[in-house]
Amino acid sequence: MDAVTQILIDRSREADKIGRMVALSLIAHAILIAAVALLPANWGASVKQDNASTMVISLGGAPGPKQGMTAISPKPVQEAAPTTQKPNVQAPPALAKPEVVEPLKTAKPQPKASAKVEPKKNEPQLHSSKPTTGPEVKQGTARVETGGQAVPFGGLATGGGGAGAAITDYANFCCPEYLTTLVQLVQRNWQQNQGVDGTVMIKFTIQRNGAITNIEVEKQSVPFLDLAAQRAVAQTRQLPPLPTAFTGDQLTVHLLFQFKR
Amino acid sequence: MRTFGYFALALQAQGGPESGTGGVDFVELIARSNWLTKGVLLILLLFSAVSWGIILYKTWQYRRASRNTTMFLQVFRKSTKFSEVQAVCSSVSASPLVGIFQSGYAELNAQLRQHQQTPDGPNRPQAAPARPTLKSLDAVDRALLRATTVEVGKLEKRVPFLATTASITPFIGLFGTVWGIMAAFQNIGAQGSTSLNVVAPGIAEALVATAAGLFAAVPAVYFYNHFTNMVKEFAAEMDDFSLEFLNISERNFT
Repeated sequence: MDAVTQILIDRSREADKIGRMVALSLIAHAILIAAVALLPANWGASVKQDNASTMVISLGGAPGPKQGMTAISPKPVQEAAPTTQKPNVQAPPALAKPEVVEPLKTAKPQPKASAKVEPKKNEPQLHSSKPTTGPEVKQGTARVETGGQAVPFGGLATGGGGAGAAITDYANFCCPEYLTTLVQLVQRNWQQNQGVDGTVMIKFTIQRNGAITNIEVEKQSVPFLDLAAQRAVAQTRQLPPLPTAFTGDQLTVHLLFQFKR
Repeated sequence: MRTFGYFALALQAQGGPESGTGGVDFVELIARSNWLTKGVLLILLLFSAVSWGIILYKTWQYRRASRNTTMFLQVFRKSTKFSEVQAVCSSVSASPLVGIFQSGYAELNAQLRQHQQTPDGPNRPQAAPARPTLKSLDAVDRALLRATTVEVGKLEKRVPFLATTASITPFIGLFGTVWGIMAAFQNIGAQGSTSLNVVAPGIAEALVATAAGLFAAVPAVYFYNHFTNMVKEFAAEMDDFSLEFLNISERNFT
């Protein structure tokens, strides 16, 4: 055989140590997997846990359109009608169609009352079958302050929703509805109007049964703002029990109160 | 003026010991997943292991080759006779230049021996040879070229597996993920609820496969490019050496 060919064959047939290297790499993979398996699950996450789970619920933002009174249903409510002096007639006017009635500002006698006299006494009537001499039940539309907008919760917030826009950085808590309730309850006890700007962070713990414990001021501001925020939480005192989907025994919540003039 | 207030909530689950927030428990995820996901993960593990084996082997091979090349070139440029260089060759055999040198030298030897034998016969005393001449320099060139091809082939061997790993492992991982998500959706259908508690674990399991695919692919891509580049450098070095060898042969034997 040609000498050159012989040399080339020899050289290309040199011992290949790839098998050993693959074995080494397999061992390295096994070690890596074991390391991942044995490490605590929250390794690396524990460092920034505080910030990562901060949920900012803005109850302000740029003021959205004030919606004011919202009719939630056309259910009749009882309103005290002004006492009116009326002619002493036997029968009141026929039952008028239910109409939307603004609260009366001035006592106005109803001129129609005297116009017709229809003695329909046998017919059972709900309203105005009696002389209108005293406080009277009238039909109206229920008007309830609902606070306007819904509270979008869970990261899809937009600014400027008036009261109740929510911004969440991160929500790893199972039940945002619970937080909405929590915020609403606390907000009810919160005197926002302190005339001073300031930010207070309150930390508290909700027990399984909904009791609020361990109220602490985490980030201080002016003392009376601290007190106002603390009072808001303390007066709330009892929340609904923690949702069943949440498995923990207790839930620690940090609430940031931002007082704005 | 209206007062606007802001709330910020930060939550901390202080529940049982296993309520680790933020961290991912891979073992639990993998243990819960179905057999197909496990199979995909196993394939990916094998791909990753083999490609890392190749990476280690090639790194070792190239490092050894370049060290031996430096030593070989030192010897080659210092010595005056090819036979001296030939003696060193076995100690630096990892260098691709050794193969080129050896085949070139073998071709030279063959031609010179032929030349010595043919005209005057074997009786002529070896001590006083006339200046030997080569029959064909082209043949030497071809021998060098053959050696170069073989050496490049040796250096390139198994590197394409890295390219294969780099291109198919993401797809294998993706396949596992798609299958897992299909299973998750079937789960939704079976349970009749779309709550996050039903969907999320399945999708998390499924995504492990994609993560594993990328885990295998990224080093493979990097080292494939790195190794291809190194082979190119070696090839340039070999070409350079071939030309040098040819020059010396031409100068001395023609």
